[in-house]
Amino acid sequence: MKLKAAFRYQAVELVQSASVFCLIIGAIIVVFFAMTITRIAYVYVPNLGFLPYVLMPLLALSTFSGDVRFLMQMGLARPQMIASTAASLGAACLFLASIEAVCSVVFPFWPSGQSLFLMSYGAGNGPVLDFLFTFLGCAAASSVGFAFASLQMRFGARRVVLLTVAAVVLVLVALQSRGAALVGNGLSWLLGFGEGASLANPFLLFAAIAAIGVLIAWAAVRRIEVR
Amino acid sequence: MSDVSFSVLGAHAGRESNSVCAASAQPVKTPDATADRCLRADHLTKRFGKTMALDDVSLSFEYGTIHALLGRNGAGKTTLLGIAANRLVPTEGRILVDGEPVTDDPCALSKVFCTSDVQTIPGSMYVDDLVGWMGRFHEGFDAKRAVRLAKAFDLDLKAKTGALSTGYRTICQLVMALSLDADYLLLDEPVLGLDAAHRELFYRLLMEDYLARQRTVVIATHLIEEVATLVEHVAIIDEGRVLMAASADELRASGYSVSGRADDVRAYCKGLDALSVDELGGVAVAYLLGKPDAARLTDRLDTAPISLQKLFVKLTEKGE
Repeated sequence: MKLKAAFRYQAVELVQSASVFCLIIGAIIVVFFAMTITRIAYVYVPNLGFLPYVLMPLLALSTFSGDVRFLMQMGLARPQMIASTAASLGAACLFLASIEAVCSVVFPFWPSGQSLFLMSYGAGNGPVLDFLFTFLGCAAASSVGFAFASLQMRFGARRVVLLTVAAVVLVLVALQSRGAALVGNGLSWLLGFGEGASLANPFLLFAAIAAIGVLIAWAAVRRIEVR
Repeated sequence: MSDVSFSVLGAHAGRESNSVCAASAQPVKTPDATADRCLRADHLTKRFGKTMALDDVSLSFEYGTIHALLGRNGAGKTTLLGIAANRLVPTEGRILVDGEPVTDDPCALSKVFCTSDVQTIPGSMYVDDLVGWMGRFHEGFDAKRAVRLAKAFDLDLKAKTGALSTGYRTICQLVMALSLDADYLLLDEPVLGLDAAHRELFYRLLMEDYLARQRTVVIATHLIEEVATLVEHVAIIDEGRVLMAASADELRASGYSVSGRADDVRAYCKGLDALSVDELGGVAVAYLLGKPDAARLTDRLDTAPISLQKLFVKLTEKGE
């Protein structure tokens, strides 16, 4: 009962935020489109398809701490909170992916102008793969946010930010010394580009990132405290 | 305790103790085994960095009794209740609810509800929404009773919890607690910010609830005199350690005061382990543990039972 209630509490909050986000983005696109049609101005509509991948980690970061406090007051155990948070983030990703897939079917300009997947990998891949890509991509991004928020709650924001900055600096130094081209090629391959790469690579990469993020969050949340 | 007059605010009918855990639908203790039912701290230690908040605390809160957990600010009361409510993780030891470790155990947690001054309810949540969520999270939550209690306390159901004053935030938590059928109700500073009328109403409702349900209530406070007439058991903690734990009557009988001329009082106390001696002008009052020593008493000395408040103050004062 508590898990169901927790999922409902978190999912409603996240899907509502995602809906507002979609309405805002939709309104921007409509305004730009209307301006072009009515010849008020010829405005280039920027590609906004990357924004869900920014929104989801921000949502995870901004809601997790408050949710943990409330769910603990409601008597949930930590593993239940992990399950509920992961499931509700998944629900929000599902919602965004569904909107993306519907838009790619309904609006003719979407595959060539707004869909990150169809623009990058070809419009011929269709709405189903577009849906899966958006879902897994958002899940990966939100699990990074989830892991970061959990670590922040467990060890304190300052420590986690400092460690993250240090890790980024180390990676950049390593890139300079070991050859950025090599790493760049590796990343391209992981994203499904380049010689011998498969279209399945980005899907597997996102799934792996999502799983690792949830694992890190689980490890951190096990001893999380509310004071 | 029994001379309090009660108004009827929709008190629950007495209910049977939980024999099935709602969280896992697994049978737990037999309903009549109340003797085994308790919330027990077992060699509990909690450190925050270098600060020792609880130091090897072993304490038991029996089922069906009102307990007072007394301690000065920073004594470890909130930490103890925080661990019992799963908000904090013990460094060592554990808290058991009816024999089950409470930390991250959904079944044990379903029997405990703890109020506290820690901000756990989102400030943007409306009170009536909170009532709704309490009903969704807790099977045994009586939303109608919550609304009735809120009205009795003049708590605005349409207000955001973040916009409530300190007193009404406390009231909001008390309303939720008193509308829930949790077996173990842990109230951390339950009258924080409440005015005299609201405090009186709360004590009245608490007694009404207790008579109807006979559950365990733990009141953590330093306002001893207010709860002295309500509680049956008292535990005093200081600097993370249990100083005393006994029935309220036993504690009252555990000490006494001797008053009279300062010279006479000093003479009486000579060789005895007095908790303290207060002197004002030529008159003194000494506080001692145990029974008065008839051989030392003279007709110039008066003895009196020690109050819980005095006992608490004398046991926990640090030379100030």
